Amino acid sequence: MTSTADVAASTRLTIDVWADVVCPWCYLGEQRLSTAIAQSPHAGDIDLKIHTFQLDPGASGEVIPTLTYLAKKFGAAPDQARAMERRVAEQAAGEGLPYEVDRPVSNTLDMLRLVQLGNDHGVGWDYLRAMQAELFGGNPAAFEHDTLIRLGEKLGLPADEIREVLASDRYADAVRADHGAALALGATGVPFTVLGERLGIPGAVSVRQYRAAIDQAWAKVNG
Amino acid sequence: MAEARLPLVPLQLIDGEPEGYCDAGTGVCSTPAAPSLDSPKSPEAEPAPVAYHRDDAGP
Repeated sequence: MTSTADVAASTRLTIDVWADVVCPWCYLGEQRLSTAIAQSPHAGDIDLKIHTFQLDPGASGEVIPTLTYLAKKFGAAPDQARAMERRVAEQAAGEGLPYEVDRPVSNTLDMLRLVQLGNDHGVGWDYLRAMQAELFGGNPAAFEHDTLIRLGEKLGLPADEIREVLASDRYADAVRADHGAALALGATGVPFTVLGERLGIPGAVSVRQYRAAIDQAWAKVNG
Repeated sequence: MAEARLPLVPLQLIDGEPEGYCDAGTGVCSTPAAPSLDSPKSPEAEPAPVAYHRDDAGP
């Protein structure tokens, strides 16, 4: 006999997304995916879940300008780095997203641990998006603990619990587990999106492609 | 703790190239191709890779 709960569970679609805060294509892809979900007739039956993926675990905890990071790390000429950043900024503008070329960069482990905390409170996706809005909006204090606490509090997270996470290594295992899970699933890049545990999307695609993938996954899961 | 469920069957990947991504192994992010006055951008053109973020630890 099929219970009411079973019926409810069978008519939903879970979308899992792996991303890092500082990943420009994650920032754009998440926006496009959100738009695609909002346009979908199944919007109310889709569960969106964020997973963390730290792109540069070896990054210093020092906060430096992104263009300086590029120059130091890869030897990119400042003008070349700025030109490439501006092309991504144009893409972001097309999505209505702020994208400041002159923004800070640093190690993201603390941020990602807080996203994991957010997941435990049901606001992981919103927390990541709020951090990205600060960062890509060009807030030089985007990595500051006071900023992360302020953003978390706006989402209803207890400030004391955020401070406790920041003062410890809590959720570091969860960040590593998410990273390993993405690789085990065959992810070769982020953002990495999995729909209905069956359909994978490596990288950021168009709203139209996300919509098509949602329809395809919905048919597979609920068809 | 947020753990991903591993699918019971291999993932099917959607057709087509992504518009952009950051490489999971190297941390390198792609960037949109620069527009050129001499050669209009082909729809098949792939984004040029750019050293952006790198995972020093490797996969």
